[in-house]
Amino acid sequence: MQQIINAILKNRNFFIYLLLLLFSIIFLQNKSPYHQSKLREISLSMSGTLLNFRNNYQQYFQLKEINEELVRENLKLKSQLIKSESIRSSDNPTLELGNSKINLIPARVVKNSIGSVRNFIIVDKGEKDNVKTEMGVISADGIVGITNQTNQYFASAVSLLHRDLNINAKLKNNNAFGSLYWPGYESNKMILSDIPTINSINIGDTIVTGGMSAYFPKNIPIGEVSSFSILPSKRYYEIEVILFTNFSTLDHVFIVQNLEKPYLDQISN
Amino acid sequence: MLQKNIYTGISFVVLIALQFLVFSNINLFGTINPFVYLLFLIQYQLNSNQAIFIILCFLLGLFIDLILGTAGAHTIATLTVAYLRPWIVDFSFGINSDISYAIFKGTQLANQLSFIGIIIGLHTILYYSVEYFQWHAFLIILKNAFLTAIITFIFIWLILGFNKPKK
Repeated sequence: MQQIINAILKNRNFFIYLLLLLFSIIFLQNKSPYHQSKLREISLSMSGTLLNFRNNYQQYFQLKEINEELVRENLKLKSQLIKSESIRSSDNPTLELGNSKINLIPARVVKNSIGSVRNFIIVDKGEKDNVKTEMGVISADGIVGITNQTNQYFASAVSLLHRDLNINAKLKNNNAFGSLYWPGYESNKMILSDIPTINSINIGDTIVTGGMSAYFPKNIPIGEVSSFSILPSKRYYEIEVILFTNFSTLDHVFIVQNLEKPYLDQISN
Repeated sequence: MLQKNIYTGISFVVLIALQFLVFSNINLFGTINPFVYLLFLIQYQLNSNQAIFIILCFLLGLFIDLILGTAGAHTIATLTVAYLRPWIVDFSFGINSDISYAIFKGTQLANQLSFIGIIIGLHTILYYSVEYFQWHAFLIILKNAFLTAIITFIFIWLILGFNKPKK
C-alpha cells in the first residue's frame, strides 16, 4: 500500500494531468452533441472489439462443452426424425414434422438478454438464409421465441421471456389448450392460463406447443407443470410451468420456416 | 514570492480578457484567430511547482472555453501542452542548461524560437484535432493549425518584444 502511495506521489503530475483530462473529456462530451456521438462511436467500436476477443477466447475454452451439446442435439433431432417418420433426401433439407412442412434453419445466438421484462435474442442468420419475420425459434430443449426483425445477416427474435408474448400451448397427456405467458420474474418459469378445470392436471405433466399458430409445429416441448391453482372463478387453472430451455446458456437454435404459412395467412386474412 | 503570485494572477486575468475582447475578434481569413493566451504557458516561471502550473493551465483553458463558447478543445490542448512543457524546455534549451527563473534571460534566440514554436504548434494541432475530431479532416486540421500558429507566433513575439526586460 505504501509503495502504491509512493508511486502516486512520485508521478503526481501525471495523475493530476489524467484526472483533469478526464474532466475535460466529460466537459467536451456534455457540451457538444457532435463529440458525444463521436466518443460513443469510439467506445462502441472499442467494446465491440474487446467483446469479440473475449467471445473468441471463451469459445475456444468451451469447445468441449459445445461438442457435447452438439452431440446431444444431434441425438435429439435424430430421434425426432425417427418418431415423426420423416423423409429427408440428400439434396432437400426439408423436414416433414407431423402433417406440416417445416424447414429448420440452424443458427447461433449472438446476443441474448434475460434481465429485462421484454427480452430479445439476436441470431446470426438473416434474410440471405431465408429468415423472415414471424418465424418460430426453437432450441434442442424447447421453444425460444418468434423473429420480429431481420436484415441481411442477422435476425432479432422476441424471446419467450417477453411479457407481451402469448404462446398457444397444451397439456401433452389430455390435449387441453391454454395460453402461455411470462409474468416477468424468473427466467425459467412461465404461466399457463385458460385451461378449464374439467381437465385433470398433475405436477410433472409435460406442456407442448398447441400447433394452433403457424409459428411452431405441434408437440414441440416447452416445459413441465411445477404447481397449479384454481382461479377464484373456479372455471380455469393457473399453472406454473418450469421451462425445459435454459435461456441463460442459449447458444444453438433453429429457426422454423413453415412452408405452409403463406397459405395459412392467406386463408386467415 | 507574493509579488510573483500577484503577477501570475494579473497576467492570468488580463490574458483571458485580451483573448476574449480583442484577439478572438480578428477573424483572419474568416475564422483564424491568434491564441495569445498561450503567453501564460510561455512566460510562467520554470522553477515553480509543476502540479500547480498544470492546474492553472487547466483553469485557463476552461475559462477560455466557457467565455468563447467552445466545447472543451482549449482546455484539452492547454492542459496537455502544460503537462509536456518540461520536456519541451529540455528539448529547446538542452537538458543540462540552467534555466532557473526566466527563459528569456541569457538564452539563445534559436532556442527561444524553438521553445515558443513548439508550444504554439503543439497547442494549435491539439486544438484543431479535438475541434474537428475526424480522420478525414486531417488536411483542414493541418491548414488551420499552421495558419493559427503563424499568426499566434507573430502576435506573441511582438508582445514579448514590448515586454523585454531591460539590460
